[in-house]
Amino acid sequence: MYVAVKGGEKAIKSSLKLLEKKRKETGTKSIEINQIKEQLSFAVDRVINEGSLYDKDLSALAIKQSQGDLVEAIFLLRAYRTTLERYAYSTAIDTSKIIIKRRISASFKDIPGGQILGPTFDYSHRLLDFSLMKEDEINSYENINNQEPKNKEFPSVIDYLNNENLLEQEINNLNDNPFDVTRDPMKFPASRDQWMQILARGDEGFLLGLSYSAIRGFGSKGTHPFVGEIKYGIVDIFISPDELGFEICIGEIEISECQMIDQFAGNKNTPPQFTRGYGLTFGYNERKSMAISIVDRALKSEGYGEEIKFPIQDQEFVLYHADNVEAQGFVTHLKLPHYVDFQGELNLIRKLRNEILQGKKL
Amino acid sequence: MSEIQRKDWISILSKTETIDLKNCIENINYTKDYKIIYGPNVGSIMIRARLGGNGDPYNLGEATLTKCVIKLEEGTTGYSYHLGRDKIRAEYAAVLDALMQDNNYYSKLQSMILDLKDKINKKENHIINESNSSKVDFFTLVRGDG
Repeated sequence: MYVAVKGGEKAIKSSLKLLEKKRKETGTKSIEINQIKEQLSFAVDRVINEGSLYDKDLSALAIKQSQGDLVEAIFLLRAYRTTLERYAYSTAIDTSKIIIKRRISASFKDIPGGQILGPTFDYSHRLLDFSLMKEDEINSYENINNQEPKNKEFPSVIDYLNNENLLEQEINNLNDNPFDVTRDPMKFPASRDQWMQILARGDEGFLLGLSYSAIRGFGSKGTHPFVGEIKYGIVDIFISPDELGFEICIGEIEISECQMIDQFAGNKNTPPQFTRGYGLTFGYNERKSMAISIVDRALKSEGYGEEIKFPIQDQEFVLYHADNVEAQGFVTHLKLPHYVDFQGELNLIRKLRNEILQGKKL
Repeated sequence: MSEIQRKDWISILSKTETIDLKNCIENINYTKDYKIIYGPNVGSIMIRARLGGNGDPYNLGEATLTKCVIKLEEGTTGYSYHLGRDKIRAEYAAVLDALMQDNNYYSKLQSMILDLKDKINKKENHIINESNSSKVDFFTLVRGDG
């Protein structure tokens, strides 16, 4: 139990000053928001996901303010989010209508539209580039080619398997009022819409660790999942405002999507087939979208009648611990004054020791 | 010149930068007063996606959204909803939405809006062409006799 304390106003003021000073110790140039947005774009994209608010400017601001502590930046963005009036719900994103920046499949070699590597660290040598130590100016790329491309269509790769009925179909219950963790209390057993929202804003490290555990053997099948398709690109966002009475586009956002294919041995009602795990994130967040897809598949275990024996399959374990704002809040509250509680514990230990040392209990 | 539906010009305006929106209004010399009915205010929108990509909808996360409603002296009401927090941009877009509904202004603005559409298309083409430059043909090396 935590008992409130009072006092320390002056010390707190001074502490905040020291924190601000830490940012400008030797008086280097202030980083511009645009510089963070462009040159630290992966950090920005992580913060919009876990902050659960797509606004790259504010994400960059939060990163600047938190001095690069991304969990703190996420907290700032979440706090800001709560101040906003919600105007609308979007029409569900159609990820097949995407302006492609990257698209690969590890399951099929020849796919319509082709495999497009896009900007990726995958084939870099992971050697430190010392030239960046003294990079003076950044010249933007001027090579513009806006000719009509031969192909703009990138059909869903896993539809191949659908054609042969080798792949589980998505169920369409026409549920148009999905769970919303910002409004609804957590409930168990959780439905898939509930866990997909929580995973989307969940901590990347936690989800990565969980998905790693599953493919190392602490998962539903212990088998090797296959990347059906990974996409990164830009999609339009639509809403249907009441006052207009028709659907309009309100802008575009970047997303990363992963379709993971996994085995299923089949049961009385279903012959063996492939099952799917799905991951979707804001921005360029491929690693996280892959992790989500593996966790999604594991959380579906119960629905397939698979034995639940590993942490990643346990809904309460995964969903209650994926949120890093909650996790850091609970873990770090331990550093706040607990003097009264600890005094109680001290007295108890003293009493027990005295009893034992004086031989009363022996 | 092709006709532009309201749905389409709203979409075009939503992807156009502030400076280009401003230029459109200046180019037709619209100097009359308009009344701001709402905003421009920043709120949020919950963005939805589909389970597995094509199943039931779920809530992916929110985005900032700026809303503005204006009324021209002539009486036409214009709306804008834009992702992000650019209030000036939202106001210009609402004004342009109203002007486009007025036949007089529509004829003056039509070609400009089509130019904006062209600009958006070219930008999209550029992104796709750039992506396509990294298109790869993987080939499989067969092991053993296989």
